[in-house]
Amino acid sequence: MSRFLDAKTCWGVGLRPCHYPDWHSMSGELPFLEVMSDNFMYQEGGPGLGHLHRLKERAHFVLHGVGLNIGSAFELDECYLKELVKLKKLFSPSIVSDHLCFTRTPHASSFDLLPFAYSEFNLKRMISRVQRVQDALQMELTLENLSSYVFFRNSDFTEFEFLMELCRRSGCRMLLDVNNLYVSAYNHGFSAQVELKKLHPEFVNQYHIAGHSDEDGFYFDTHDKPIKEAVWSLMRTAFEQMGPRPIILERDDDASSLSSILEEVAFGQQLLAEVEKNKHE
Amino acid sequence: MNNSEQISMQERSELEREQFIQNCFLEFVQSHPLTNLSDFAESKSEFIELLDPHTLHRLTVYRNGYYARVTSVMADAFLSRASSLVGKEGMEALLGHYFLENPASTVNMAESIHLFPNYLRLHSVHAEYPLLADLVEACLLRWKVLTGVDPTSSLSEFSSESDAACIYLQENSAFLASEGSIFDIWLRTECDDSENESAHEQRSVGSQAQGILFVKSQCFELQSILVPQELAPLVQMLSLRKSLAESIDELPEPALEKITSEMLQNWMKTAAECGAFELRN
Repeated sequence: MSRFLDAKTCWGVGLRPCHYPDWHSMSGELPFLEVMSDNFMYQEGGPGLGHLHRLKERAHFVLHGVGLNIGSAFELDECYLKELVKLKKLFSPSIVSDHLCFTRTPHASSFDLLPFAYSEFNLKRMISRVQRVQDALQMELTLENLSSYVFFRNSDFTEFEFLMELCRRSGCRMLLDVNNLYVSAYNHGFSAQVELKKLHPEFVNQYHIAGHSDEDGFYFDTHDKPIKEAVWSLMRTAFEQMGPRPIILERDDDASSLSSILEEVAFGQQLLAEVEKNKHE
Repeated sequence: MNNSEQISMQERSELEREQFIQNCFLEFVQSHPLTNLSDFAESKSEFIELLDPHTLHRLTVYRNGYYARVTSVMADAFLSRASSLVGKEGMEALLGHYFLENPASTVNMAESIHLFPNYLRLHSVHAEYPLLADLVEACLLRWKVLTGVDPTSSLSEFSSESDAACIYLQENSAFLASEGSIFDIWLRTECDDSENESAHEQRSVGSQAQGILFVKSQCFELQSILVPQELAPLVQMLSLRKSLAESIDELPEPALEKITSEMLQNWMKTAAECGAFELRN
């Protein structure tokens, strides 16, 4: 399902089970809904998939995963990929994304997004791997920048340079998470604005925005707080630089009502409408 | 040695180094939460030296995240009913110990706790809560059935004239036999899922040892059906994908003698109404 994108229509939110009743009760066309792939994989039926089938006629789905393990130094998990392809065929999302990270080895799983060195060697390794995934998906893969807490000194690139090079050489796309950029920039002491300028608009096909927590001496990507002003400001810069793309507001705490999340979306729509207006004046 | 072989050897060596780094990262993530980072650093200096020293101390963020996921998230997502027996904190502590002995290695979170019921049966908590392991197992079976294949048809009515040779349990069903009153506890514990769930009791038969049969009558409808002690051996046979006629035929004489015709008729009627059976020719 394709959709005209402007500052208003580009917005969407992460689909969470606690909000299923709200989405079903809303009338008309729904916004972009980001489906967490891993929550629906390895399932043959049941309520989760049932809700997706009910919503798919009215919603614009994008699939977002955490378990592709694209940065793994070990074999690609073909079984996981097969499940992802199955899900993609069922729901025809406009974007399929995961993260630029590794999550597990053959003997240990972190259930987390772990960074690796942005080295020339890892870049080469990832190009063929991304292509294998894209061949299976029959569409481009989109990879998101991380919120990270440690950094490898044996990196030859910054994360954004690595991603742009990977996009250029493998045909994949980037999901720009502005909150992750903000968090990592603070944690590692680099300039978010400088990194943002390194992005080529043609390689970026989706945005994420979320809240984070201020821990003892570092920022932590928690998705359970309202978005901070500085992150909105970064979103604005990205929008000015690259224009509208599907923007997913991520909020993972069950305590937030959908209406409070949509209020934040409305704020974002207004903010970006100003950018568009300024552009045309 | 020619040039391409040299490159290949160099690449192999780089790959092995990358695998070593990822193994070390996961080893720390899954290490005991009280293991001191400096102790770990001493034994893995080659890995530690690759990390930016300003960010090194934040390795613990990943370890904290791992233990939070495998305890808190697991308790909420899959074991909420069992958690109500020992309290959420109690369940998290048990999960924490379990994962120290059985580090996660699967991509699928639910799969990573498939040994948890047996772990609990051997744990000291078993003396105080002898049915906790069964309740955990029931939670896992419930999840398996819920996310399994949705039924396409079912036997809606059962009578003494029904052909027992054609009656089978729905393929996507699961039976748990317990030495205690597991069904009564199942009824008492809360389930905060948004899905529809019904429990079916056959009050005319009362006994201490009970079993639960889980079956999905529709995509959104999970049925939990009481299996009285007397019928447990028969349902066990049925759960091995045998027909009702075969199950009765193969039941040992002492077990068969405990089942009255009325008892069987009543239970079969209740279970058929819940969509527990399918007809096969």
